[in-house]
Amino acid sequence: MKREQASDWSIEFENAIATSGLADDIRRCISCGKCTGVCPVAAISPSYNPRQIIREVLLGNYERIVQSEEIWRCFWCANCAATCPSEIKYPLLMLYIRYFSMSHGAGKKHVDPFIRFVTKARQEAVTFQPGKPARLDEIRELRSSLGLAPLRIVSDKGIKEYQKLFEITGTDEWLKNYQETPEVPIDLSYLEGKILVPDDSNSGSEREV
Amino acid sequence: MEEYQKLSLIDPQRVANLPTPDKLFLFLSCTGSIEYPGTERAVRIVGEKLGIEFIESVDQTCCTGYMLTCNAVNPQLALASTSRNLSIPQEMGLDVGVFCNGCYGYLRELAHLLHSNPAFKEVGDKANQALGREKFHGHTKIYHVQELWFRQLEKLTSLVKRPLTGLKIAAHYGCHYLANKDVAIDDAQYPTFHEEIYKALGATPVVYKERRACCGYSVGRGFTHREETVLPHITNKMLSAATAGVQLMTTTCPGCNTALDREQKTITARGNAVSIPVIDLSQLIAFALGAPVEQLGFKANTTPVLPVLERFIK
Ligand code: SF4
Ligand code: SF4
Repeated sequence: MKREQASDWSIEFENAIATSGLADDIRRCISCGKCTGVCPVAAISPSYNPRQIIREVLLGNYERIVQSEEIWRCFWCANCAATCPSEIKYPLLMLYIRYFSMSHGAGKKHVDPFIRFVTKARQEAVTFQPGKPARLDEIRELRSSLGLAPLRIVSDKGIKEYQKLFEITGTDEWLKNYQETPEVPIDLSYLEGKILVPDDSNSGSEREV
Repeated sequence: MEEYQKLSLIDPQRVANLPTPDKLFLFLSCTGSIEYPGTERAVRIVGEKLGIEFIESVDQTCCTGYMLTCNAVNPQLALASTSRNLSIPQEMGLDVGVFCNGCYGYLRELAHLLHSNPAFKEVGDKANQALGREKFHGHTKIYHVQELWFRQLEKLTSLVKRPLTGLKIAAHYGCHYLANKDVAIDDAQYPTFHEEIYKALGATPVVYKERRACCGYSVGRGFTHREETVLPHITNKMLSAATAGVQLMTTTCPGCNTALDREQKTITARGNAVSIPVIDLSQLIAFALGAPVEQLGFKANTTPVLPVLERFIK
């Protein structure tokens, strides 16, 4: 197991975020911690700390972030962005950090559950349409009684155009890559945010750093 | 509980700048259509009372925001589908009314990204070109219906047929409306305009401790982190509402509604009995305006709604 080292830190991380076009300039962060103070996830799971995550990104500690479990906890509620004195849109940063982590083969277990929605949405141009016939009947009945179309159906034209978007934006390709990329085993392991390293004196177990 | 009023941070200028349209494109919500179809019906009923005709299109697809923020598609797809979806009302010469905070937030944020970043704009333009559609120019305005209702609060008040006297209602605003700091009509940390609407309908607004807490369901965390963070979070929120004596809660997002309504079953099963019906703000308004209750689709709710509304139906 690998231990985190400052010599591995890289400015490339921050550069990649800057060129993604998704996140603002996070160098504006003044580390005030207001984001963490209003964060509902930090309240329940203190090892999730948005201020710290921004620090790690600025330090270039990308291995720590890429392999982090914490980055997948954010609710995307934007409380942090609403309160941030530097107008940092943290949720967009988080969206990009998650992509960045995936591009290193991490985080797949947090994305896999949604791939079936995408597969279905690609067929119907609507998300969440249930597959179970009994549930569909229930929805049909209720919608019809309200004078709405029995199901929300997108026109054939709409569906074809939506599928074309998957092709031309490279999403089909992206999904294929995603599915073919194996999950990279994590070589920093965590116990609620604490990094664990192998304990030499007691082989087989781990101790906190 | 009139205390909250003293702190009102509603922006009167922004409210005054909102239009009172007679025709709007209605952007349909996937979650809304499936989980709570009564919301869509209610939006049309309230629109009708205010003289707003809603036009929809069968060519409109999912906004793609959910899949984007679950990191399950690449950002280009969401940018392109925003560009394509918004080219539909643009072609009709209509502005857009949205009744899902998710669709609203994603459409606005993605439209903003499309127009602030030339590379993203190209993704959108290329997509529309390939589909034989006109480029999306970015002039189409996007409104959440809740703000349009507030804009015409006086007219709504005059149309109330079932004053909700004595009903203790609490708000869940939902993050993806309030996060739009540059246009939202109220303060992101201390909003009060839903409470103003309850009062106009004759009800009693209740402020509860976790009022501003999110629903926990966005970006799919209800699937990936349900036990770890989402359920403890929603439990706190709903128990704080119960302690404050809330009888009914409203949302402005079918996604939030799903989380707060459906999860009460689990919360109760785990020993914290809670039963607070959660409905959409538009359903509440339509009800107070006298809409037949069968038209509002409360059958879709997990936590029964009629017990608290029954006494107002003559
Ligand atoms: S609130 Fe903004 S400036 Fe303060 S620590 Fe968080 S991101 Fe940085
Ligand atoms: S968006 Fe994420 S980091 Fe920000 S307050 Fe919400 S849960 Fe916390």
